[in-house]
Amino acid sequence: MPVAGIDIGSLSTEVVILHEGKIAAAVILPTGASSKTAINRAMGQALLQSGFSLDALERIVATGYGRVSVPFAHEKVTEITCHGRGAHFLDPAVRTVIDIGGQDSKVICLNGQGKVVDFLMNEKCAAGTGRFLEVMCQALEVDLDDFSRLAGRTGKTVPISSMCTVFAESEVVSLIAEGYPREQIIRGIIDSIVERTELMANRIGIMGKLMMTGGVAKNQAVVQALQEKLGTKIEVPEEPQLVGALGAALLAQEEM
Amino acid sequence: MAHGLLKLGTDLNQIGKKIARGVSRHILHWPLLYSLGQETVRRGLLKFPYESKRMLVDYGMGQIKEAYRRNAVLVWSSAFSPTELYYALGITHFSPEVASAMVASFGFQEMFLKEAESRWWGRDNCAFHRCAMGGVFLDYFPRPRAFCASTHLCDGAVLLFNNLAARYRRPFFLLDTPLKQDHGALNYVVQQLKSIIASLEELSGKKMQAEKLEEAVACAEAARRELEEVNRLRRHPLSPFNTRDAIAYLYLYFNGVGSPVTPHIYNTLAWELKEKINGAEAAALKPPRFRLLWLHMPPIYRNNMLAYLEGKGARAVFEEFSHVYWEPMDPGRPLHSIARRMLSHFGHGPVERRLHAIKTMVERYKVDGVIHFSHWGCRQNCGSVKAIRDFLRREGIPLLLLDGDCIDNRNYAPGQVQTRIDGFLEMLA
Ligand SMILES: Nc1ncnc2c1ncn2[C@@H]1O[C@H](COP(=O)(O)OP(=O)(O)OP(=O)(O)O)[C@@H](O)[C@H]1O
Ligand code: SF4
Ligand SMILES: [Mg+2]
Repeated sequence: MPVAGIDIGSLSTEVVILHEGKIAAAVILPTGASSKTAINRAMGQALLQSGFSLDALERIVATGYGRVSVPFAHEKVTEITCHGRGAHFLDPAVRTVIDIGGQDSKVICLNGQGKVVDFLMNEKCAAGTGRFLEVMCQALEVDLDDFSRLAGRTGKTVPISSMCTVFAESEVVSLIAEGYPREQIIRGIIDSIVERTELMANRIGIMGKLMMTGGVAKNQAVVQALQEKLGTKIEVPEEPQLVGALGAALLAQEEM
Repeated sequence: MAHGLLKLGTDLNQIGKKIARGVSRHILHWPLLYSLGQETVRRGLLKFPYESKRMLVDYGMGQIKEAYRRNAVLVWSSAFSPTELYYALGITHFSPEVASAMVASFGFQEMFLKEAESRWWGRDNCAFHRCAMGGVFLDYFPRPRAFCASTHLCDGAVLLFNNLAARYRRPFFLLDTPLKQDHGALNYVVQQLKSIIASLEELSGKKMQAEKLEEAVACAEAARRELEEVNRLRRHPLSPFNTRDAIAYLYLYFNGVGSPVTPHIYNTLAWELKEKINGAEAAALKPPRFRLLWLHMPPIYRNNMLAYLEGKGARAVFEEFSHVYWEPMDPGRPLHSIARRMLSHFGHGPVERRLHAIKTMVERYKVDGVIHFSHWGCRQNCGSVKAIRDFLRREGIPLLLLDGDCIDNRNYAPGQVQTRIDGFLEMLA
């Protein structure tokens, strides 16, 4: 019986359909201004990919901040549990998950069964999250791929002192005007994200194998720098953005 | 021309606001308002979930009415100061922190906070104090004859009271509470209580009578016993009384210790709880899925945190402010008993005392998890978070840390809080 997980994040919406233990469909779309539209489009595409109709889905679990607005969901579960569940499925040895998305970053501790035993989330503001990175990219006029590539070119850093996204943006603009190379500014931005993440990780205490999920895990420069800072290897799954939806789909399957 | 009109409009607007403030100030300072309020409550024109709550509101209004009475000998007293002294002397007291809580419960906190902030009271100050300052600037509160604050538990209070005393040009009596609980510390506090009594006598022209002081301490002791009975009932799996219900009754802990009314209200509450529990048993109601302990206060402004928990089958069955930490009080040794009550507060002194109290509450109320509400700006509360976390982890008790504010609603993001609560409950499942 096919089941589905849908993750409506602040920036992206994902759908995973599982059938007979295999992934029958996986879709990632931007959430955009209307989560309702994103939900319908993402689910529509996933159904097309898998060849199932909505009615054929035995169970649907919704997650992400938009989980409350999925009309066809049978159950709503937080991203915390879903990222934990997805990470455990991909590698049962994982005990700590760092999920950095568009506006939230969290550190999740798992036990051997993939059950969440503790978690910590960033407070209130979006400093040190994916959205922060995007704004900085705009200021630097680079895209996310260039961002990672350019960061690799230098070991030097211009520190960014502002925590607030808006202030940090103008700081970056003035650094460009002062003639600092973009590579060094990028390193400064990465350091600021890594420091905030390290702080959370240290607060909760990293145990065992560490996996990073969420869109920012696709940013190789951030992963690399975080790895160095934490002094431990970080596992990144093939498609980190899908882990929440995958976890939701797994929960849907287990519930049956 | 347009500019002129605009200016006229703004001026009129300002004048209108000033008049409105003047009128509301005048009305608030009018004791008859509270008599009317009491009548409304007494005649049953307002609905209360508990009869004891009606008694409580009646009592609170009576106190406020007294405080606004012209010629009242009114002492502003910090939240943790010993109120037994006022009851014994027959003078009126007013706690600005409790007043802030009331302001927030009526939903007026923004106006008060903004007033304080516009006068440079920074947003990093505890909002119980900031909101109270707003009330002072707006001149909404009854005017004091003196100030009294103790140093234990809240260091912000001492600074606030010092500032207020200078502002109102009134005397400030400080009660210094040492961190130890030994003989020397007790004597030291007793001596200070004596000197404060002397100052209050001078202020009021009344003489403290030994039997009145004994009476007040006897009332405090009766209240302690009744509160223990309430708490004993709250251990019952079907007790419907949660932290949201309990907040209002904390008024008695802060303002009513030493009053003859307090034991009476607690006693009524205990009866009502018994009845509700019996009713729940008869109806074979199900106990909540999860029992939780709430540390520090929950937010007081309109919010859905505790209701949200209830909706998810999780009940905050107890909160640390309701914990009876002090030993029985002896009316034969009134000042000594008051000093002991103060010094034995688990939030005073080394953090191990708070940890021990938390452990007691966790076991006594059989909770599945703990929520620590880290109220912005409260150092004594937030400072022990790491110790609490490590401790509960060792004990295997799940803990949710919620950052927020009890009074200032302007940073409250329901969605973010709900995700944290949901995540926590999923963890408990
Ligand atoms: N190809 C990519 N390379 C680098 N970074 C990327 C890439 N794709 C996405 N990201 C980063 O991932 C972020 C979005 O992450 P994600 O999709 O997990 O967020 P979300 O789940 O919508 O947000 P949240 O969970 O906070 O509500 C973007 O802001 C961006 O920084
Ligand atoms: S919350 Fe903390 S700082 Fe504020 S009044 Fe209470 S004890 Fe003092
Ligand atoms: Mg996400």
